[in-house]
Amino acid sequence: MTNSSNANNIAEIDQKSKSKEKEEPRIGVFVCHCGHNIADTVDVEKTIEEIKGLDNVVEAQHYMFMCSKQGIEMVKNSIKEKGVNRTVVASCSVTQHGPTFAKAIEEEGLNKHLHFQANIREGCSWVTSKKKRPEATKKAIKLVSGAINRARKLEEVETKQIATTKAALVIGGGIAGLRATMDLANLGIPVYLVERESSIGGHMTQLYKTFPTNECPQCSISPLTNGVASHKNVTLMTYSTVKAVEGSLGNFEVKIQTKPRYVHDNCTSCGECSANCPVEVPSEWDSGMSMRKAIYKLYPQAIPSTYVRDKKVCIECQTCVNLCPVGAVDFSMKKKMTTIKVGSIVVATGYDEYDPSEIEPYHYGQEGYEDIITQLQFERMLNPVSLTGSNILRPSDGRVPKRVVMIQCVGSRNEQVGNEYCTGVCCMFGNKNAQMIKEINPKIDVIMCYIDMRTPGIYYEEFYKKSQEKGIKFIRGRPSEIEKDPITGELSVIVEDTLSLTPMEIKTDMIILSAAMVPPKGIGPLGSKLQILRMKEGFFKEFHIKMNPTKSSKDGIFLAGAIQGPKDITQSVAQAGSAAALAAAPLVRGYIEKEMIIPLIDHSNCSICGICVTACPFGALAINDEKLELNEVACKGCGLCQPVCPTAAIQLINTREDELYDEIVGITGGITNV
Amino acid sequence: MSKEKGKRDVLAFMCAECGQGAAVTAGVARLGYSTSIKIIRVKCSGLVGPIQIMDALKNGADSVAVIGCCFQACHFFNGNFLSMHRIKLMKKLFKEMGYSDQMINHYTARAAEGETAVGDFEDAIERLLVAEKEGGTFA
Amino acid sequence: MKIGIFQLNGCDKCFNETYLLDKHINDNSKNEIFRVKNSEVEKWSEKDLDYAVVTGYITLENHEFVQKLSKIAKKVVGYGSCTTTGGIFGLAYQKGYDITPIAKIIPDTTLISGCLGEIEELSEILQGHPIKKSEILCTSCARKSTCEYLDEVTRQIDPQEDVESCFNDFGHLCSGYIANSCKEMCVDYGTACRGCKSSVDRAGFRMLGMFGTLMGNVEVATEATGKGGTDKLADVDDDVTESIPDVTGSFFRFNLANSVLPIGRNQSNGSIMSDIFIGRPIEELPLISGCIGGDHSISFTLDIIQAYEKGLIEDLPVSEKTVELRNNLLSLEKELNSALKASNVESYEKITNQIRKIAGNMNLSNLFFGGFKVPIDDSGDFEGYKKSIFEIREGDYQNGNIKYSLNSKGIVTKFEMEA
Repeated sequence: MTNSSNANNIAEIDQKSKSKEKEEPRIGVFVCHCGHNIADTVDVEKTIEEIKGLDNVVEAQHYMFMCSKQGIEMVKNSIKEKGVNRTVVASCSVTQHGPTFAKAIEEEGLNKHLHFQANIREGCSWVTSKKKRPEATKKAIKLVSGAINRARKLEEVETKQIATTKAALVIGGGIAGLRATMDLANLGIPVYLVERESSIGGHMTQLYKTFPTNECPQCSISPLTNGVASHKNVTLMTYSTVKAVEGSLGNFEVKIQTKPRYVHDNCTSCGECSANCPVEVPSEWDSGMSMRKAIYKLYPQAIPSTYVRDKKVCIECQTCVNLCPVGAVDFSMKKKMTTIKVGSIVVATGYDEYDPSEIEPYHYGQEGYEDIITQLQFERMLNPVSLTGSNILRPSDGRVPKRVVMIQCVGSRNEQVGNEYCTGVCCMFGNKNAQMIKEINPKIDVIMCYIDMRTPGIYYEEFYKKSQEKGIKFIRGRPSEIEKDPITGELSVIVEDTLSLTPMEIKTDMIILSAAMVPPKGIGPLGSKLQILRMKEGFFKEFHIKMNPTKSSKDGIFLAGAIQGPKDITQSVAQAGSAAALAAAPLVRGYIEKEMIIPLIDHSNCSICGICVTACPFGALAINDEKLELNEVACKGCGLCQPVCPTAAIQLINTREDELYDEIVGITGGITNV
Repeated sequence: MSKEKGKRDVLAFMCAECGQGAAVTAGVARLGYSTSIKIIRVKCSGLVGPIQIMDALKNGADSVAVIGCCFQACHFFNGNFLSMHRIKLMKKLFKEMGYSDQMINHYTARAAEGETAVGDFEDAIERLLVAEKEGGTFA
Repeated sequence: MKIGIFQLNGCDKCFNETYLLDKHINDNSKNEIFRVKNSEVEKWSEKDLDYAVVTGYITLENHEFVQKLSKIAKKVVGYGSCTTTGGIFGLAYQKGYDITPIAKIIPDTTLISGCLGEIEELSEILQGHPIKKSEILCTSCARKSTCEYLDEVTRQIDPQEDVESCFNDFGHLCSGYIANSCKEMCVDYGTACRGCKSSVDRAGFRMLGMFGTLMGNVEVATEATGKGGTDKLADVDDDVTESIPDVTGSFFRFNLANSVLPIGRNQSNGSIMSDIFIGRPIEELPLISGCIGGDHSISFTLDIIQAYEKGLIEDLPVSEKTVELRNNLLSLEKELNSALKASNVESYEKITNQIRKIAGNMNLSNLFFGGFKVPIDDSGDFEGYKKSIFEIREGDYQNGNIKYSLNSKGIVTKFEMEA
């Protein structure tokens, strides 16, 4: 759409609004009891008494539940029978039932923007003590008269259709991202899957077994990893990160940076390079439980199977370059930037395991305390290529431990480290790994120190029972400290058994910490690029915790998996499906609907100073040929341009200066007949 | 000139995002606050300008609080910051005119935490009381 | 037609300008014009008028008289900003002077704002013609704005350094956005507009909203709130408040009394002149005195300027050419006063045009500390009388009958004017 046609549209809207002004407002006011929720604190009848005489109010009623079928009928009838053309419902918040009534009046042929909601529940009755009924009633009357004043000048706002780009971006190639990618791709939508690591699969592929069936995760996930990698609708972008995001729902432009692998895609994954590489460093993927070369794959089944060279540790001996039978190794590769256009974005960047070294008394990561490891390290200890040969051995001396103590809630439910939340899955993976120890070596004594055993859900409590049957011991108490005998080097866990109120000192030779799930590194910058909100815990905030857990705070960006808070695989997969469905909807339909809540420009008073152009966060305003022009598609109707205009020449529809004035006067004056 | 408790009108212009979100969360959690607080919903705190603030104060409001999203979290990039700049200048203007600058304030709130909104309301009322005590209000 | 012209209080500049009606109204000899000034006003007893033109600012004592005018005149016209919006004298509203814009007493007054009010507009009105809607100042200004967020605000600029960019783009407040274009055009003489002829209601607040936003990159102080660790606006002084040392005088120069702000509660300093000047930054003083001095505005402004120049000595040198031009102006002022005494319209017009040629306009926009802001003619010797950016220095300054003190920020803390 060109800017000049926008200007014409505005002129049209201007004229339309002028003709509307002539129509006498006939306001219908409906006050809701919300059962006891409002009526116990606010005298609903009195409110009606007070406001029914106000100018233009032709209908004033109250009802037990305005949002019920009968309540909605009441609103509809007032339109049919009394010619009401503006409605005010005083009930709950705009977000809760504003749309309900807007839809109702739309069904009766009124524009939905002619409805105005007065919030006398969250904004009045719920926040005022029942003992203060008279004050609460007065406040409600003021709020309702403010709403009536505001409703008087409301104008119709049209809704336009905007075409969407049929493509989606999924950020994060873990189980949630893979599921979302697959679901989107299967709907016929081209998907770009961006993964920070050199291969997809995420944390799930690091696990030894998954609860509650003790299945092999590699076997469960490989159809998905292979499927995604070979899907005709999927463009896989590993070793890549999102650098910039612009645009909005339906039409995003994203810049993606891909790091050089130094190995071309013609790599046959024969392994010659790695086998002969002279450099060996601890593998990050295996949490240091195995070694890798400077040219390597994360794990044998990694997808894509192309090897990757770690430039930082490589000594550039050229052995791999010379050995590669297909000449795939190329040290001259450069990072590259790709710009893609998508209509929706799914964020599935998962979690990081909490670093327990922050908890001083546990001595994790300190010299001499090598036998204290995390659950993820334990999972990797059991991987086939681990240093221990997938045996359970003490990292310090390679001996089989006689006893293993697991400490739960490390970094979870802990105000001191700033994480009050329960990670929710540690009880289950703790139990799973305890059972694994017993299965691999029944002689090892396993003790779990827990605060509460949280195993809700099908087969989960049963799973915990199984642990008990296997002879795993449970002690209810959070260990205060781990001590090390300076002479024998033996570790002991200091804990009070809160069931028997006995202080205990458990001697052990290996300790596994069930570390929390925390927001992944880099979530902050990613959040600002995407312009989406985070919760105080650091994860991305969902739109609504119950009703919309997979939508982010911004239209067109959806959340899947642990990025929205700790989750297990089952939940992550379920959420990914939901995110994919939501992300697909506007793309499959091919367009989105945009309500034209835009500012109207009075060109005769505009001094073309340009401050509104500067203040507009969406670049929707521009000065062309000494005339201010609005791109109404880019405009989000925020109204930032309104108070900055020195001549009041730009006014947001239905939020004009005089309309706000009317509402202010309605509230401060209580009852005003304007 | 001080009014009876609870009879004041503190107009809280709250943005439709975090501001309203926090107010609704406070409501859902039944966190109580004074009936003096009257909320006006605006799309962004950056939509509120000196004209609205003066409209309120000249027409019977005892004080005005503009409440937006947290820093860096404004849904419209920097609406909250722009509003803060204007209110800061207005505060200086009020002081220059010999009035208290405590009747106009800008706050932030977090949608998920109702206490932040209630905290803002309480602070606004406390400041209004200070202004009244000093005899610096418009009333 | 019977026309009464009433000067109530203030500087007489607009009242004097009405002499020119003779030149602008066709067949003015048919009209009967009464010119009534200051103390004579109360004694005035004519009963029937077609037009009552009010000039000067209105105090509480004048309310009754203005009410009376509305009864005896068919139409009341407020002429000049002092009458319509309180004008420059309205700055004393900050210190408790109850100065009332005329429309608050008689709502259906015809208003001609401006300092000076434009005589062309007044004559149109008196001939029963409607005034043309004027353009916004910026459309006739040679400078154009981009309005990028400012990193800092500048109190002094060199207007000749860049003649194409808007003052606001340098961070130097100009209220042209809210003003109608006018005859004085201060902006053409290196002086930012202060909005004497505002194009919108509540112009001061609108300009504050605009410029406050423009200051987007200037740091505003915030602090943590008590609950929940969110942030709020802090009470301390910050870059925003430091940037604009005089919000009242900057944004409400001509419309404070008409601004919807309640009357100021500051203690008066004893005289309206000291109340107007105290609190203003040094660089704004000539702009105020140029508007306020009436038929003595030139000597008054030069006293203020020379007081500071004397105080700074070689740090604010004054060239010979500057002195010469200033002396020309001073003798023009003397001639003007004789012309006024003799009610000589022809020479009034001639002399004011000569003053305009040197000082830019009747508000003396071009007259400044250390020299002149823009070239006076095309002679090309501008370097010989060019003003320079000067240092702000705390101290007491005196010249002629003017005495004032500045604090370290260059704000007037004391102002005395001997009668």
